[in-house]
This record gives sequence, C-alpha cells and structure tokens, in this order.
Amino acid sequence: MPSMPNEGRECVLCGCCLEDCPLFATTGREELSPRAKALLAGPSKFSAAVLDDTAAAELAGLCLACGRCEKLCPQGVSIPALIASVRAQHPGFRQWLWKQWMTRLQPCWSLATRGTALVPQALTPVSLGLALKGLRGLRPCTGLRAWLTITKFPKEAFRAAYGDRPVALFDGCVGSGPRPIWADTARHLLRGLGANLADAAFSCCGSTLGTAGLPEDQATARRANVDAWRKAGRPLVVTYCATCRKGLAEYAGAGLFVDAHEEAAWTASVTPLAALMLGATAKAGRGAPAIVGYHRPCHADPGDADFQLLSGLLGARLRTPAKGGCCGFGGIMQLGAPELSAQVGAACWAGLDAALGFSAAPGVVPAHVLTGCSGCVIQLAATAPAGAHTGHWLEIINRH
Amino acid sequence: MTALATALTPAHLRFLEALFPGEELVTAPEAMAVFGVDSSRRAAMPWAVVRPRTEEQIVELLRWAEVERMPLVPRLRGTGMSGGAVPAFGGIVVSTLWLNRVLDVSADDFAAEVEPGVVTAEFQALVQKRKLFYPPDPASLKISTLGGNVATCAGGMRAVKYGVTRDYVLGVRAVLPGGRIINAGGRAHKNVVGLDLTRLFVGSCGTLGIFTKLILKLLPLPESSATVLGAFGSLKEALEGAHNVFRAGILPTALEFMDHTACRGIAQIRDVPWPTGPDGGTQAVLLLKVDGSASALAYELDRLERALSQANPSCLLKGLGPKEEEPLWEIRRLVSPAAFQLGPDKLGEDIAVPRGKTVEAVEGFQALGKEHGVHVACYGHLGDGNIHVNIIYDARDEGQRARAKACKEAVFRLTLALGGTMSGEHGTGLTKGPYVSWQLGEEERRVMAGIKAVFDPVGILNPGKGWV
Repeated sequence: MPSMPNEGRECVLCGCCLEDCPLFATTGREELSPRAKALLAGPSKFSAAVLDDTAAAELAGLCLACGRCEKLCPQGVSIPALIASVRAQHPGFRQWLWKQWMTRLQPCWSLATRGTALVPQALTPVSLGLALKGLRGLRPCTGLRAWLTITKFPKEAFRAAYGDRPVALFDGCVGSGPRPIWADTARHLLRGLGANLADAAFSCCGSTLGTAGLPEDQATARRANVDAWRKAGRPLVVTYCATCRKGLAEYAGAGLFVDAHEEAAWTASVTPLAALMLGATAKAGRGAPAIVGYHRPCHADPGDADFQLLSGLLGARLRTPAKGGCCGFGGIMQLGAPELSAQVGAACWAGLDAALGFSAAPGVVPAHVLTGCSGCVIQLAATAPAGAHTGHWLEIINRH
Repeated sequence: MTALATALTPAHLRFLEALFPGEELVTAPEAMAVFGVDSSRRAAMPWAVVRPRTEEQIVELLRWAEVERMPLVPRLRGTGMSGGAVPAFGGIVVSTLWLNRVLDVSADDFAAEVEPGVVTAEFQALVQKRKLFYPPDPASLKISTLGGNVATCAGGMRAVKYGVTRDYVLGVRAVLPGGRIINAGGRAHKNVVGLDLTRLFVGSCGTLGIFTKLILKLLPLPESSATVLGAFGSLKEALEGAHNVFRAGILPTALEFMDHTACRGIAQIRDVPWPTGPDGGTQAVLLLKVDGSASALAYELDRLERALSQANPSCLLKGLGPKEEEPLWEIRRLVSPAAFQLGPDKLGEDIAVPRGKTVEAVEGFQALGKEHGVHVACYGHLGDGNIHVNIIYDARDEGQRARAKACKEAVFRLTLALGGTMSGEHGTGLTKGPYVSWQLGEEERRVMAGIKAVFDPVGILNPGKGWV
C-alpha cells in the first residue's frame, strides 16, 4: 500500500463552505463564494493563459475575512489567510491606501473624529467613503448614552483566579483612538474587580494589517506587543474587541516567542474583559431601552463571553438573531468594494430587525444594538437605519 | 444531427448582453472559473455564464439557443459528485440560483411549490415550522438546492424508510429548447393520466429542460427521532447487527455504515466516539435513526439496542432528539471530505446492489482495493444497498492513477455481476458517462436517445452527459 502524506490545506471543491458565507448568502453570486476564492488562489485548474493573475487576485480579494468558512472546511483551509497571501504577493494601490488608513491616520483618529466633516471631499478617495462614514459614526458625541450601573462585581471569583497578577488592558486602534471612553470604562471595570492594573505600551494587534496583505507590518506590530508584554512583567492581557482578541490569540504559532513555555503563557494571558466580569449584576437606569439587540461578531471567542455577560446583566431585555449575520465590515474590502460591504451590512440589520422588531413598532421598540468588536461598531454605525443606536457594550456602562 | 456551435460570436454576446443586463451576465474568466467546476473536481471554462431572474428570460434564451445550436449547461450550487454541471463540452452555463423563492407551502395539500434555487436544508427548516416534513436528505443538504437535488434525483440517508427525491416530486415546470414551457404532474398526490413526465425530469441531469418551478410532496413531521451509533470489531458483526434490526421488524429511518478505512479518515479530522487503536480497533460503524411519536420511540430504541447488542458491538451510543443526534450525524456527513485525509485524490463511486448482496459487495470492494494497491473506503446507505466506494490515491503518481482507474472499473464489473447499478444517487455525469453502456443495453439507450430528442431535438442541453 503506498504511503500518502497528508497534503492537507488544499481545497477539494466539496462546497461545505457554501453553508455560511455572508457575502455569498447576501449576493447569491457564486464567484464571491469561498470555493471560488480557493479555486482562484489555489493551484489552478485552468491554464495561466486563461486567467489573469491580477484580475484573479482582485476578485479573490473580495472577502470579508470573517472566517466563517474556515470553521466549516473539512480540509482546514483558511480563506482569509489564503487571501492575505495573495494580497501580499500583489501589492497595489488599495493595500497602500489601507496602510495609510491604519498607520498614518490612526494616531490622528481622535482628531479626525472631531473633524471628518472638515476633510475636503476632493482629497477623499471615493472608496474611502464608507470607511469615513463609519468614522463619522464614531464621533464622541454619537456614542451610546450610559444607562447601566454595575451593582456587584465578581471580585471573589477574580481574586481566586488571578490574585495580584498584573493586568494590562489592550486598547486596540479604536479604544486608543476615536473612542477613549471604551478604555476609560474598561479600566473602571477592572478597578471594580480589584485588578492590579499595569501599564503596557501596546500597539495595533496586527490582524487587520495581516488580512490586508501587509505581513511585515503585521509582524512589526506583533513583535512590539510581545515586547511590551514582557516589559510589563507578562501580565494578563485583557481585550474588549473581538477581533483584537482573535488577532492576539493567533500570535501562538507565529514564531514570536522564545519557547513553547512563553507561548503557552501568552495564550493563557489573552482574556476577554467580559469573561472576567461574568457573574456581575447591574441595574438599568431610567430611560433604559426596553429591548436591546446584540450583534455577535464573527471573531467572537468560542464561548462568546460578551453575550454571556450581557445576558446575565440584561436578562430578557437582550435579544439576538438566531442565525447571527456578519456585519460586513471586511477591513480592506471597504476600500475595494464598499457596495458589497454595505449590502451585507443591510442584510445584517434586516436580521436584527427580525429579532427585535423595531421597524414594525418604531414607537415602542428602539433599534438599540450592542456589540463587542471595533470593526463591527464602525460598520454597524455606517449601515444603521435612521434612528438606530449602536455601539460597544462598554458605552452603556455608568462609570460613577 | 447538425453540429452545435463551437464558440460564442460577437453577435451571440450582443444577444446575451441585451437579455441579461448587469451582473446577470458573467464573461470574465476569473469570475466564470467557479461556474466551470463542481464537487467532482473536474473543470472546464464556460463560454459565458447567465443568471436569469425570470422565467421569461429562460424562455427567450432557449428559443435563441435552439436556433443558434448553442450548448447550455444548467447549474445550481455545483455540489454534484459526478461532473454533471461541468461544461466539459463547451457552452453557456445557466445558473438558476437567483430563482430561489418558496412560492407556497400548503399544510392542507401536503404540497409545496418552490423555485429551483432554494437550499434544501432551509426549505426543510421552513416546512418544519408548520409541522411538515420533506424527507430527502442528501449529505449536501445544507449546501445544495432543491433544483439540483431533483436534477440528480439526490438520495440520502433517510431513503431506506422514506425513499429518494423522486418520491417527493409531484410536478415540474420546465422550459424546453425552443422556448416551450411544459407542466408535468401537479399538486395531486396520485396522478395516472398520461405518461409520467415528472419522473423523466427527475435525475435527468439538466438534459431535458430547465426547471423554473417544482411541486414537492410533504409528510406530517414525525414527533421525534432517536439515533444509535454502534462500533464493531469486524465487518461481519456490523452487518449481522444490521440484519438483526430488520429481522426484528424495525424499519429504521436511516441505516448507515462506515468501514475501517472511512472511520480512519474521520478520526484524522475530529475526535471520534469509537475505540481506535494501532490494530485498527474499530472495523465498522453503524449509525441508525428511528422516528415516530415520542412514546413509541423509547420502546423502539430499546428494541434497536437489543437487536444490535446480539452482534457484539464494542460501543453503543444513543441520542434522543435532534440536539443529541446531530453530532452523531455530523460525523457521517464528514466521511466524503475526510477521505482526502488518506490521499490527495479520490474517485467517489456510489454503486447500489440488491440489498441481500451488500456483504458480498463490500468484502469484494475491499479485496479489490488490496489487489490494486489503493485505499478503498466503503460507507453509506447500508439499508438500501447503496454503497459509497471511495478509491483514494495520488494522481501525481502515474502508476497509482492507472491502478485507481483499473480498481474503479473492477468495482463496476463486480457491482453489475451482483445485479447492481453503477450509480445509486450521484448520476453518471462525466465520471461515469463512459461506462453507461456496460449497464444499459443498446435498445434501452436507443429509447432514451429517442426521448431526449423529443425534448431537445438539436441536443443543446448539457451535451455529452447522461446515457450517450
């Protein structure tokens, strides 16, 4: 019998991924399905004369990087990783633009959020439109009103699990930029838990840079974060953005650590803030919405700690679509195909509406939607129907 | 028969652009590539892809295509296993994925009217809310469509009790070459007026017409179901266990089996509940489902366990209700893709033999694998004699490639010698097309060709597929 090494990680065109691709589900366009991407990005079934490399890379790049197909693939193919490598091999205008967006604009975000209205439209690339719209949605004045007060922190459970271990908050691009209130509230919660807060000079988690096809920039950001973690005495790394958490968890296996022991320590350190808060109780203030929606980020941790926490805090007030849709943020895809991203966003809001019923009873049910990922917050704000309120769950927490 | 068109001319393209505006027409090779493949992994670049939104567009297209002798290859999700949707002989791919409305579900008529692009599992979930049941459940049900299932007469695991797709199609509305519209069958559950044209369409692989509407039969939803998984130290014991079940007078909803090679493939991609070990541990696994009223099920489950226990299983797992059952069935659905863990290429055959010949067939196929020096994984629908035979090999090795092909042909010969058929549910498409004459006699093929000519005199619909 011949011995056959497991070649693995190669698409066999079985189509299992077709079950849950937000882009394919929304558009019904098979050329946008994960299977089409694997076909274009993988070993070609067609001669090189038939397919144009750049056109194939561009089409394959129309991916939201939500990672849902990866969970369904019996071969373990990661389409977002495949697309990232295609992008890395085909550097072009959009990647450059995204790099500008992420690395140059980011330090100015707090300024920009106050002043996007002042950005001369003539200097704004058309396809940046939706992204800028999202940024406008993040202006300090448009955040959610705080209406929930934590009445009991699960201090004992926290102490039993972590004792005096230093705890560093990972703020990510949005928490350290246009939404400092997330960082403030997160610190307020950690203090409430009695955590021993440590400072660490973290940078971007790198995941968006990676999917955009900028592996070197991603590696730089990752190394900086691991260095900052070491300098801070290897604290617990607490996140409040689902994509940051996923991005940080993916450091394992990327060759960033001195040995397996340090890698395991890192993996055990990365923790969603919500997971630490499980068991907390809260009281809703006057004027609190009667029904609150929850949007589950595609990158949520397997247990979806944000949802668990909010269910505990809000009880029957919280509703979520049975089949959670993707918001359609898609990172770099915003720049290449904002209309596709907006289409998926509209489908997501339709799903939320079906679960909450705000358009059927606008006077009674508010469109009030919480989530736990900065990409989702940007996208939900950009695609929200008129009168809808959406933001990170941290925004509803009273800090006094 | 005059030759078909061999390429698209600029005039053809102009016609298509006018009939299919915007995204309804795809001509960029990069975007068309995925429309040229299916789960058989065969590939051919379409000349163009059209995505009609209305029946009128399909009528116009078929009127034009017959005049122009333009080959058309109907397609839905492209999850077929035999290359039926691959435009290997050229032509325009017609994707009816955008015709995807459920038009009517009637709890009084026990019938539903749907467009072809509705995803099977979504339809099942929809009718289930009304306590109705659409039984056909091909392994691809979460990703394939009702139209595709009807075109291929998809089978599935529940076939042993409930039959296959064919048994649930009451009527078909289709557009024929020349733009003629045909309504076969209707909403009545019984109908013997005229020849059964509906049955001709089911399993015709897009060679007779393009579906625009399907009328499907529904059943009352069984109150509950239960599943038992049993692992055995030998193939004989497993088949003995299955035999005991029928002997006890139990008609299971599904009776699936997996041989040791199939079990090994699954164990490589997920945790499995059965004993594994260096000596192979488990040689065969049986998976049985029963359904009915909740009170009767407890009794039925008990009888099922007793029947299986006599065959000395090394483990017996039970699941009562969908939540407990689903993980057990998910394992079964992964067998086909898991086979790639054993080698980079496979020939996926789906023969069926008279039920009494199953043991002989499986033992014969395993022996053929050894004889040809390739992995042969057997699994599938033991209850109705429909066995999936996966021949796993490495196509880069010329010797293995030749041995795999020889093995496949030997599997067909053994199947036919046992009075079976080369395809129980995948259809012949490209992968089995060349062997059809091994099974069908000259006269049968002549009659089929005559029927095809009545529907499609010029031969534009999915040329080269079926029974030529």
